[in-house]
Amino acid sequence: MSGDDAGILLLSLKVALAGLAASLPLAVAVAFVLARKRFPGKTLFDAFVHLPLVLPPVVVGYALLILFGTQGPIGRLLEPLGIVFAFRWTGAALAAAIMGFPLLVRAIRLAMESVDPRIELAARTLGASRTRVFFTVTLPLSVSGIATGALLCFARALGEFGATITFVSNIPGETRTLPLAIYSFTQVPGGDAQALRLALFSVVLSLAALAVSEWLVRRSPAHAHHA
Amino acid sequence: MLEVDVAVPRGRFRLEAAFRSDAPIVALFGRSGSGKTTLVNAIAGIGRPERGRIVIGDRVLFDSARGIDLAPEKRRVGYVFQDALLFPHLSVRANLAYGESLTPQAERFVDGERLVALLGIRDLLDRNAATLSGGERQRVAIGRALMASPRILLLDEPLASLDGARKAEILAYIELLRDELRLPMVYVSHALEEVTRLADRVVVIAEGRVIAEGPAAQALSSTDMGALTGRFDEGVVIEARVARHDTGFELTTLAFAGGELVVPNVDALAGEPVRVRVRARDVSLALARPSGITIQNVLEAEVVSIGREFGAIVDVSLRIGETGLSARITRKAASDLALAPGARVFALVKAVSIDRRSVGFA
Amino acid sequence: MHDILASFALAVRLIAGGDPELWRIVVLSLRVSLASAFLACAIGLPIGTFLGVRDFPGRQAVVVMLNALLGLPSVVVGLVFYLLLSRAGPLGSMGILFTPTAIVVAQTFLVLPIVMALSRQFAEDAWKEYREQLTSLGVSPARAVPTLLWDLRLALFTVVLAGFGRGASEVGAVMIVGGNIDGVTRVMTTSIALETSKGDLPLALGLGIVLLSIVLALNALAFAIREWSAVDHG
Repeated sequence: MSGDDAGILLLSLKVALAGLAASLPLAVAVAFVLARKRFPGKTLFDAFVHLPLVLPPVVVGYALLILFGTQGPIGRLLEPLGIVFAFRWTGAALAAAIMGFPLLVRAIRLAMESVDPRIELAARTLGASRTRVFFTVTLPLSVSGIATGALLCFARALGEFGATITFVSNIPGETRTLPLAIYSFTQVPGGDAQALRLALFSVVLSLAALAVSEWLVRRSPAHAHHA
Repeated sequence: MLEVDVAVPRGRFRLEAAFRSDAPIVALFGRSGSGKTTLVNAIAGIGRPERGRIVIGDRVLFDSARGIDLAPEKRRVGYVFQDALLFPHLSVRANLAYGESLTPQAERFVDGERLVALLGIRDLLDRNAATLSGGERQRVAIGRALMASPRILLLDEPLASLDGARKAEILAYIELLRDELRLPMVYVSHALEEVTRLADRVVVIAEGRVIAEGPAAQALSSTDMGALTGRFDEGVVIEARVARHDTGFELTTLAFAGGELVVPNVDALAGEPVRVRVRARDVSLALARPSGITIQNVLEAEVVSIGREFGAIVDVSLRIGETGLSARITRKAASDLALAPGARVFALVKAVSIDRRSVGFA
Repeated sequence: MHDILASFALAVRLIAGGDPELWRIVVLSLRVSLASAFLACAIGLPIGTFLGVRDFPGRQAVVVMLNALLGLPSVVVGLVFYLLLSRAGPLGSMGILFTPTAIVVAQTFLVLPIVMALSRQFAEDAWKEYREQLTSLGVSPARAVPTLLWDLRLALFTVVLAGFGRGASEVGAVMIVGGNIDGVTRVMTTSIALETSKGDLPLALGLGIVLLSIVLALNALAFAIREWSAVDHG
């Protein structure tokens, strides 16, 4: 693996991990709300959360460009604060975060729904406030779902192309993640070999992530109930 | 003193119940779906009643008129659920400590060591809660609820998911706790046997309403109970006192207001009060005192009424002195003996039919 | 913001006014996606249904492989076909690289796992329900496949819709094997990805609106079918 490759790989990992880290807290909160609460418009909210799964990635990327780009309303708001997404790896991370969000929420929600709500009630009768119950009972019992979701989100982020290239373009060293790099090398004479190498890494990484998440699903208590 | 007076809408029907109790254990007795669980849930703070008042001693837990509704975590009400509901990701020790750590030091009155010894769960302390058997789980569940030093302990059908031997075992533990701790308990069950053994005071609930309330014997002895107890168990509960023991034949004589009952050995001292359940199907009638018969209990009685004149079977209500008794016989027999209200008969009760499970200690 | 609104207005005008360039791109996208959806379904629906219905040694392995294919990044698929179809590659003599045909081939391969996975799921669930009835009528699992296919036609139509939507959304593989050549292999997705960097906002915006409308319409149709058949079958 050349130094070039290593740089691309590291950037991809950085982007995917940052995207995951940004998604996680919100995904846990959203998953909890969807798993436990009832409110008017819940179906609509659920559909909205799943949008990135349904929409074409380029459309998502374009929407991000409009909102977070240098001319965009949110982009202009954040710029004086030093937060810039346009043409930066942070933008790639944002795209990854959004595209992987529904996968995270789905997996975590599934895990939370398999936690008997009466156990949470039992904890409350013992003196625990709702917040304490969430952190000491619900969350620990949903850990396998969180891990599965994280892996799926991570794998998705590693393969993310459409939204990334539309939002933050293809800037080497900054936004040229693994998939973008593979594409770029096919446009360059003699770049086929390198593209193939990178593709191999990509496949190995995504297969590994998928394998681990499958294994986690198989040993989770939820699976045991349905088996 | 526990005071409860609530109305709780519940799907298709409505629970409207009120009762008070000062007794060490008050039992909520009724069929599945009668609303007993809704009632204890209301005491625990689960599911807000539409209106009403719940008071324990000097503490108001719920009062719709004054807008008081304490959150479950503030009520200090211990709850033992039907299926234990232990925390599967924690060890037994951590489960026990969960409530204790949330109780301010000043309010803790339960001696952990003693409780663990009492419940026999010392060996289980380091086990993961998910690996325990049914009986072990229930003991830990009881321990966990108590370790939080609650002011009152609610038990919702704690024996329902256990088999016969485990039931007896846990029942014994609950009796022990009732006697050892000065903690009021509310015991929910549809099993007449558990209720007669444990409770001094019984609240009978059917279809969301209290249909009888009072000392166990009184509340449980109305003949309307057939639907609640199931035909097999229907009968009476008699309050009695241990008169004497026959150590040679290991029998005990119990004295009640109207006569005496001989039963297989009861583990109590002379003078101790007990409750005895006598099933109607174990009572036979005779017009004359029989001789040369194995039945130990032959009691002079007067027929009060004859009920349910259809099918092959009738229930005959009797009075023996101050105490009521019920006999289930064939309609033919009633006809053959020309039984009618006011008739003087002899009630025959097999001593063997009154076993350990039919006797409860007050 | 003002810029965006102005571009938006321009974009709508392009769409409504029948701008030739925009509509050429849209038509090409539709042709290519329809073709790949059709091919993927022709191959994938029977195989997927068969997988859901019949157990055979190695079935589990096939299912696992299917799941792995689902998770494969689309650029990798694009690269593989690029290498196969390029002049130096084994299929280079076919000369279809950088033509719509190449796009159809690559997209078919991408949509195939989805079609197989979805139809397998539907077939498996339906088989559980109808198994007894069918076997009592003497229908073997092999014969069951066409029977189920007909019975599930509505559900399977939603699979076609899903395949079509996926094809229309694809960009990575299309860019690599198609080359995004103006007038030849430029589809909606590749145009949007590249026009935004070139700064031709109204065209990209217009294409985005059309693409979004198509995908939303597909989803709405699929949703309606599901609701309607749920009401029908209870």
